[in-house]
Amino acid sequence: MEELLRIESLSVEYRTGETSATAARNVSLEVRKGETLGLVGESGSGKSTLGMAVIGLIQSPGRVTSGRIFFEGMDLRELKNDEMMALRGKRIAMIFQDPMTSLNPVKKIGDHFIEYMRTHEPGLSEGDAKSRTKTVLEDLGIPASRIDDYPHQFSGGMRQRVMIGLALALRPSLIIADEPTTALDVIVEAQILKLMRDLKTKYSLSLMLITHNMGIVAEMADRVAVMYAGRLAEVAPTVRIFENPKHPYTQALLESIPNIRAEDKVLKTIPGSPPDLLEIPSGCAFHPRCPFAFDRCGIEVPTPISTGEDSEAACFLLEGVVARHSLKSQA
Amino acid sequence: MIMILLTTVFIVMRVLPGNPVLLRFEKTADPALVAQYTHRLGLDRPLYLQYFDYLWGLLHGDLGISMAGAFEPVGPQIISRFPATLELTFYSFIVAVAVGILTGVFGARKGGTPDDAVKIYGILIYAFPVFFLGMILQLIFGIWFRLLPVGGRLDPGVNPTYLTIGSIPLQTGIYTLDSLLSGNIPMFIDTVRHLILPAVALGLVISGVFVRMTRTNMMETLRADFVTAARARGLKERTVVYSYALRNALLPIVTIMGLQFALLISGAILTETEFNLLGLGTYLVDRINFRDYTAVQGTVVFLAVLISSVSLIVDILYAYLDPRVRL
Amino acid sequence: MKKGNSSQQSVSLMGRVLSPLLGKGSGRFLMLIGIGLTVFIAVMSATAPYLSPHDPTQIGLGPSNSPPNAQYPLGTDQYGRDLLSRTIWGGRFILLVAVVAVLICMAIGLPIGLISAYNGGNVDRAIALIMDSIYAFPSLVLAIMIISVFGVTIINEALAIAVVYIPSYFRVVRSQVLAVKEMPYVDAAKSVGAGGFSVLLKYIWPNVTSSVVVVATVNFADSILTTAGLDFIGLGLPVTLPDWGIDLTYGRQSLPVGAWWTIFFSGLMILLAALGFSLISEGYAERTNPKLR
Repeated sequence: MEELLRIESLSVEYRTGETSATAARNVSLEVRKGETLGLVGESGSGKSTLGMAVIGLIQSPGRVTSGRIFFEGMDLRELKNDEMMALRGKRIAMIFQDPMTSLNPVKKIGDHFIEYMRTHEPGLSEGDAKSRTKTVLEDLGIPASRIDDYPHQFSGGMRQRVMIGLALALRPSLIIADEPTTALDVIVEAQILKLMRDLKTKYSLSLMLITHNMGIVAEMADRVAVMYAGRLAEVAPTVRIFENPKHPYTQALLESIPNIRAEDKVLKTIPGSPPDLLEIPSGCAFHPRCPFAFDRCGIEVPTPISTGEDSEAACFLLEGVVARHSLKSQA
Repeated sequence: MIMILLTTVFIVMRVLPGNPVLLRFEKTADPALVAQYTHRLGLDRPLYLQYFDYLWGLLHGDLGISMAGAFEPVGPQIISRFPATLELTFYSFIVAVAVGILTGVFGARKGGTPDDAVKIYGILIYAFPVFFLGMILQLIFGIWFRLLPVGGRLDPGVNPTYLTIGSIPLQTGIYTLDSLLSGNIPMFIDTVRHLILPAVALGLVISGVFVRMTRTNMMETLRADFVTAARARGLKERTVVYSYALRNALLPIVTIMGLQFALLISGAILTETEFNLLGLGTYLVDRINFRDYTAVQGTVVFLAVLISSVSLIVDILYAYLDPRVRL
Repeated sequence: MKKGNSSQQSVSLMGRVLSPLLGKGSGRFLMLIGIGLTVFIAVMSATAPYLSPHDPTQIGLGPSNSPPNAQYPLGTDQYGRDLLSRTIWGGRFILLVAVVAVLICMAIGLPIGLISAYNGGNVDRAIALIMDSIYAFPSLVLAIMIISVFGVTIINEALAIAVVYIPSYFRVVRSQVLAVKEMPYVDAAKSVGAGGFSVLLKYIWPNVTSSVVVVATVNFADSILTTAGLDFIGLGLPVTLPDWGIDLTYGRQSLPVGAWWTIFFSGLMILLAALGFSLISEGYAERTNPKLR
């Protein structure tokens, strides 16, 4: 598959006065055309930061300190402000987490669309924009008659549909969805996920799905990237991640998912807690909590190594494995 | 609510002092004169009847009778002085809102040192006694640089004109309006020249509150999700700041506009005194010096009704502006 | 949660009120400047009899309307009175009225708010309605009204100003009480025989004190401005006494000849007095309300 988005060694810092927190460190990822990449991690893992960086909305006190972001061949970091603004909403769009606060309370739903369309297509008349909006609303399962209603008149689920509609209205190539269903109840969540899947297929989009919920990832993603403390831990096709996770963190994550059929009824958790981004542990950020950690883990930072077809993980444990594999294949 | 205010005024001005006529004349009173005044003003009637008369009169726009000897009705006097106050208040308000909101937005967007300056301006200007500010402005622009007049509404030679339709005079008493309506440009310019200093003085002091609230609300709103979402759609920054952020940040400010009007009235009284403008403020002070208690009562009642009306209008305005309240 | 509460109890009232003074931040800076100003003015006013070089009411002491010079550092007014002495003496009445006014409205507003909100019901709602009506009324007009009828004394002027500010304290206390009243721990305490009222007090105490400090300092600033304003329009002190507001009334007459010193210093003092309290209020609010940064 062709790549649509390539993030190369991206680092993002938040600096307030004397202290600085590293939200993302040296992350390299790609999103391919037509695929859904699931980006998972706990809060503070840097996954949302990555999404914001791609769409160029990292605001002070945050800064992208190094790395490059290639979208459709262009280096987004090289673009001027208005060039980036032209891309936003048109070729790259974002869906936010909380539908209750993502819409302008004093603007009609229809006006959100009309204004947005006319910004990107200056020649568009109000009448045409309005009819296009009605089409979009129906696509989303919202009656077109509600075009003149205000956000507070919609339920959470419907507002999220509107957000999805706003993201898709101009047929962008890449959609970044930051925890799109976290604020919704499970039934609505299922509906929204189905809607996203249907629309993705219908319009041949690529989706970067940011979430902390492995279940959603299992259902929606083609490939999964796992982040921890701002760094990439592992990336692999979904099936492989679930069947054979290589990174200790991924393994721990999967084990901690409550399983009703498990034999022991004790809930497995990962000991310790995610690190404070102001003081990330030296070496591999996960080493204080890792059951397999050894000396080297506290000193050196592991870089992602290939662990199979289309898979990578950043862990020193795997070096021996890979070496053995390559020895084997040589023999 | 307005009933409470009206009753309070009645209690303070009529009930508590006993007989206002006695207060007026103090010890030197000739009992016959006192009796005459008391009767003429209806003060010898039982209190509850007086209260009733008072309220009934108000419904008909009767604000009482002056105690200043000629027993003239207070209402027309108030009406003749009100336009000056209205004009001053109106332009001061515009200055206050314009300065307040623009600086507030500026501070919220820029941050850093400019923002600190805005913050300090807000606190400083609000603590500024409006009459002191007026004096400083008079000194600089009126006396040192001789650019603007120091007091009054018009220069001595200028006569106010007004529009007459057929034989019906349309005199509002608001000189900026009258002059435009009657096509009298020299009068308009003269009025404006006289209005600049007092309106700026009062406007700046009132702007303090607007600056601070706008700044705080903007800072918060600019970080709101729907603002980020709007940016994510590639909307122009100008649209995002004004149509998304400011529009929402200003809503809570509308709710305090009623209170600001009360402050405006207080300030107007002081400003009128300072700049020798013949408005309600100076009328009120005047009447107090003449111990014309009924006139004072009438004026305070008028102001109370005015302030309550403005509050009501503001509430309605808010409902119009915020769709969440409307529906 | 329990642990936190008991440590709260052991901190004294003074400790809690003064705690925002610690730490870093612009709020603290503002507060310190504010406190500096107010202390300076308070001390100056209190020690006026010792500090003032001349008798502030003495006419003909120096030449009329003379600019600041070595002999009369702040100049003289049209009656030849020493402006330095008048400026030093000028704040006493204004400050005194402010203190009395704030004390009165705290003494009335807080208990009423507490009791009314606790008892609730229609009485509470009626009182709240009355309070809201008064709150919207301009203090100057109300003060003018009261003074016109009752004359000017420290108590009258303080009362007139206090009346308009009572609602502020009433509201602060009432909102806290209403928020806490329905909480389960109040019922729980009642069920074991503790008076619901004292439990209520214990829980609203921390929030109320910081709000009261902010409201009180704002009231101080406002009352200074109102009193000065009243003095200015002649409804304050008898004109023979030294007072910043009265100085402005007189000084105004000397303005056409450009005698800026006759108004400048008195006006400046009013500004600084009001500013001092405003800064304390701002700084304190910033420190105790994380949202304001």
